Amino acid sequence: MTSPKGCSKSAMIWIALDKDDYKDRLLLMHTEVPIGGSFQFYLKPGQYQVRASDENGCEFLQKIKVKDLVSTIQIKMVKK
Amino acid sequence: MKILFSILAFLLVSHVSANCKNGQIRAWDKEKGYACIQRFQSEFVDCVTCEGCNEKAPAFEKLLAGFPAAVYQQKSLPWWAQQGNFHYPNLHYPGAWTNKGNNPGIDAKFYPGKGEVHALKPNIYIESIHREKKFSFSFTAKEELSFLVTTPPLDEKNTWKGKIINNDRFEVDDIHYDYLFYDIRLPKDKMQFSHGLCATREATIKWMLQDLKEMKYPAIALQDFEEHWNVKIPDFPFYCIYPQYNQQLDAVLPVSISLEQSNLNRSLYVLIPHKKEPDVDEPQAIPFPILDSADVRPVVLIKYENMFKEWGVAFLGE
Repeated sequence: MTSPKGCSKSAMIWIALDKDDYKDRLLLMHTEVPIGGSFQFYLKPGQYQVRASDENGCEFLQKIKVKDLVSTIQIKMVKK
Repeated sequence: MKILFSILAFLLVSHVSANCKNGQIRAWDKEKGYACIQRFQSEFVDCVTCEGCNEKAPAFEKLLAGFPAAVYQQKSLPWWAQQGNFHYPNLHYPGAWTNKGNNPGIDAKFYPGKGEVHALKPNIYIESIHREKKFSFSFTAKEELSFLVTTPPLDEKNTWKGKIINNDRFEVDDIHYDYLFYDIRLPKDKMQFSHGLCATREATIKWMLQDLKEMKYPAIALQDFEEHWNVKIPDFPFYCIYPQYNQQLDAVLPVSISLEQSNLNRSLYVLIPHKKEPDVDEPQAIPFPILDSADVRPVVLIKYENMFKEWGVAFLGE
């Protein structure tokens, strides 16, 4: 998966349950990734949100559906 | 000979006095140091909201501490924590969390893999004499490993390959990383739960930082540790710390580094939160620590050309 072009600084990537209600939107893991860098996470089947944000307030959100028993998803952060 | 005998006797007494007996708790306080106690004694605190309150008197910020995170924000949070608070109710927890029963910890049902010990954010730093040097770092366990996240991604042989850059950074696939990072689940039966200490939340973080400093972790590693765990260690009043070092971690998660003249110093602090004062009269799922963790800590005397330093904090979750 490739991020949309946007943030210019290293970003924090947040993986959470895909819930509209704040109190249900559990954050499962997060990691800081340099722009151009990649990370890999392992998830159980379900619906998740992948959010990236940087110090300047640049932000994007992507929703993903995981079907396999344990999925490995790689995301590459694209430069602005 | 007399002087030598005196020195040996002193060392023996020091070592013996650092350990506690069965039926005691090995506790630590920044001002008073180590002590062997049977139960923590909290000072009386007239709290309005006593959830996690461990200060003498409620200051203005503490009065708001019980409000949802999206309404109240502590001062001097790092930028990512201020942002995270707006989106996630459990930003100040290390992951999905459960407070049910007597054993608060990670809510493991949300995570794949197996292993009761959720090792969160082991970060690996490098201090090298080389401005540029190729390396590979492999997790060599024969069993299937329960990784949760890795940055950058591992290859099909559970390996990071790249270069050490400018003495203290990694380059993988032409991108510079301040550290290598992974989350993983590990089996509890390979860990040690006899050496360690118990302390308040604040003292717990101070002790871990001091422990890393004594093992000569670089400044960036200490800075990252403090910034991250000040936010992510949940607001329980007390913790017991069970440090896992090379001896334990090399057995459960062996690694191989392809670079000559290298050394890897590993530290993973398993934290058990306590909602109230730890008391030896109350049965515990994990016994209170009574032995000195310095006995299992690696000795860091020799400086190698390439010093890899790994720190992490872990919580239990079943």
